[in-house]
Amino acid sequence: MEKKRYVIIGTGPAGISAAKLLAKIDPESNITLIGKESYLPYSPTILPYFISGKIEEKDIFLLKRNELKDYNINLILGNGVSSVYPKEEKVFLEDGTSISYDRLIIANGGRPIIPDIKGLKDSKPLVLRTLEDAKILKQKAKTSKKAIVLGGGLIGMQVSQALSEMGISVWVIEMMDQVLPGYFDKQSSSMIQKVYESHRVKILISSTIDEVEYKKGEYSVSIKGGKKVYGQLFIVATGVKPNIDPFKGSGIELDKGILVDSSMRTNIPNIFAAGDIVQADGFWKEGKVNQPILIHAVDQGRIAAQNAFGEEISYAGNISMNLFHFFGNEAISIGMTKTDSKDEYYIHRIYNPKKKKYIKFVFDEKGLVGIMGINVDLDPGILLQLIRQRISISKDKKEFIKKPLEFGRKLMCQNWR
Amino acid sequence: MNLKAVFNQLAVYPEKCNNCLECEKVCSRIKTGKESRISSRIKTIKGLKEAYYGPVVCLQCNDPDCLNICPSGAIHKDPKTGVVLVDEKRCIKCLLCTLACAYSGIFYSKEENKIIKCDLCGGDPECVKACKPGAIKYLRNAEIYREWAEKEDLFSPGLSACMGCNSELIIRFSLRILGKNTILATPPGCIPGFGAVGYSDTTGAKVPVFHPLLTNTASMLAGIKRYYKRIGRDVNVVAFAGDGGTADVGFQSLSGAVERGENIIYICVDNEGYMNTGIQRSGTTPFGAWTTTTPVGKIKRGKNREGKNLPMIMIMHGAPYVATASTAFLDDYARKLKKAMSIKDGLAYIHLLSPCPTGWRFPPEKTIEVSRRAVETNFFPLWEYERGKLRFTYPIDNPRPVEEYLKMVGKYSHLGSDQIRKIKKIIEERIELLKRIGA
Repeated sequence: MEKKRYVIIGTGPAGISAAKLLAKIDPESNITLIGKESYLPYSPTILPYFISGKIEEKDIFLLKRNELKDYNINLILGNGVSSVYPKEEKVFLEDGTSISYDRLIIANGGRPIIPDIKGLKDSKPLVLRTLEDAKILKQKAKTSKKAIVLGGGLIGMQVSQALSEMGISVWVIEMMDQVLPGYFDKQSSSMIQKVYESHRVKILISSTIDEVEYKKGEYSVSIKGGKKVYGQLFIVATGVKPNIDPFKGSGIELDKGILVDSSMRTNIPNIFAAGDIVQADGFWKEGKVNQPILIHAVDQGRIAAQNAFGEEISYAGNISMNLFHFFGNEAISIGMTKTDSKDEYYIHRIYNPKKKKYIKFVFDEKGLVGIMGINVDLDPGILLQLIRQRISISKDKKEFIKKPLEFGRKLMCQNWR
Repeated sequence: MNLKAVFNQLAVYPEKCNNCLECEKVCSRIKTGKESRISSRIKTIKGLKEAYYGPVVCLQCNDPDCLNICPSGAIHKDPKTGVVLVDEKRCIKCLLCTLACAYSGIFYSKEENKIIKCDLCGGDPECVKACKPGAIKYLRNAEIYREWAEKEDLFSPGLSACMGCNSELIIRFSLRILGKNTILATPPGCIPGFGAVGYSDTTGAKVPVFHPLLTNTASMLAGIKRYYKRIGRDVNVVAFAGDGGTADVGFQSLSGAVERGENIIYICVDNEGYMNTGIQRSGTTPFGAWTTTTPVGKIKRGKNREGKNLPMIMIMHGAPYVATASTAFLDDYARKLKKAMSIKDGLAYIHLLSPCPTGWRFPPEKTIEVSRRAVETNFFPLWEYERGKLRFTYPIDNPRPVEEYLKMVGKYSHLGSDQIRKIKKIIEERIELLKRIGA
């Protein structure tokens, strides 16, 4: 039998996890991993920690040269994909060469969105998506005292923390009326905001920028309403969008990202996609959603790999979730946490301002659909399974609310251990 | 890399847990120097209305989700021990591993400001030693399975034993341990019957297999062994004989071979009767058992004599190594078989129980369970005897009631309380005898 040829586009978490799993389940195959960047594969999640110096460059790579042989992965770096021809089963690279495949997994990721603001593009703002971005940012941060971060989402908040830890004062400008609007409610985000504000990070919510000016190494940013902020660094963190340009016109079905079914398969049977580039099923049957977070990228990469190999495994669907550690505090949000609709859901909140603790539970008639917490002892992984597996907690809600940690562990023992 | 690799691991028996919290105490003390529930790597479930789910501990997954998600590559699985470890230097404390793990096996500890998880104490877990009720055990049998899985299967596929019979498992498992430097003899019985000697001059075995008469297995092997010894080759010469071929028809040649000190390995695959010829009684058929020649009717109620205690007879014959074994405890059997291979000055005898779904009347999927229950009730105790020393390899104290074994097997379904009493007495006497030899 001929060796199966797998080609994986993208060296981010989805691409790495797909390649590593394929190497395990189909060791006789021919696996090629293609990266646009010239660096070895790494996870962009690491970048804020690299900037603040918590990890050195040599430690961030997830697939080292000497491991490639063990895994039998052929790695092509510094050469992006320019186009795909599904009929010929070929991928064309930027240098003009082509590679044939039997199964293709696209994990090309996303790229930062630069909003259309007067003067912004000319001012050459920094972004944080690649190691190269991080290196530039880290270098410039060394000579900076003040920074402006546009966007109070997860990347914006993590960059702000990293800069603050380097001794830099930070302004965060967020359009919505709270930080981390994608994951946290107003109560929890105001708690998060307070912690940041006690660490040299000032946050301007409900704020948009009129104009950005860059002169002699200094940015001056005019905020709607008249306020002006200044800094030597200006970082745009207003989200990412799927990197679909190379696939336009290929016949692969696209929307905002690449559309995939529950097996991470595109409309072309031997082409799969995973990670930040895809629009996959939402867990709550809300259609196809693009949710660029690490845990989905890893899951989807592995599911794409298994289906490309020939196993039939289906993806449970994107559930909004996040977990982060900021200035010694922990915040967690899994599932439908933002809802306040008491007609549809049973919602319970516990707030302890003294201990800076907050927890919010959201149940439907069957069980848990969302949980959010600040500084509470929880097993995030168990809570995620409770939601994902729709474990019944209808009768025991009160006991669960009282002891979510212990009760979660009990449900784990009963249901999936 | 190897998804099928097997490692030593912690096993939790929730029904035995009494929530004494000793495991948490000792774990936190060993890891941090002070007792604290929060910094324990093993967690009990405490304070709920219904308690007792046993401790929760890292499963040391073969394909760990915590490792797969870790953005800094700080988590790795030790290829030798299978333990999943966190490299503190590379860990950035992003906590995503705690979101990926569905088993509550990895935590962030504020006290220690790091990610903590069970590391099996480097191969000697303290929680196991601290757990008085025995709810946590450290299973150390992985090595044998790993070794076994890596070795070549010396039988081709397609052996035709009855559904549920463990003889195919026995022959494939044993040959992987014995290796290619082996010559087999399988006298008439179920083992050649299921195809071990092959059909029409072909055989599925990748080692030589002889098919002696029922009467001369041991003497034939003695000759083979002596020939190889003369030409200077040390080969494993092994008999896989049924209980008929061992205890009854084949006994005289076996007896002679032990007495002469022939260096062969003799494995009796005991299914307690002549199962491939119509389920007739044999010397080892136990008291009370139904067979076609010990029927159950108005007057007769199964076999009215005790089964022949063949392993004991082998001890008395002076064999240097005698052991009993069960396919429910393969690691134990593998050790005994290796020991038998190391004996160079006489006959090594292993008595393997082979519960027969066809002849004993139980569902084919229950073979291993029946095998296990026979051991757990002391009906078929596991022990080994080497040069005057006898040692039990499965604890014989606090056995399960023998009824639990008898009710699983159809050939005992007619037993009256007098017969069960007699069976209990036989078991007690045999255990006493073994203890006396062991003492």
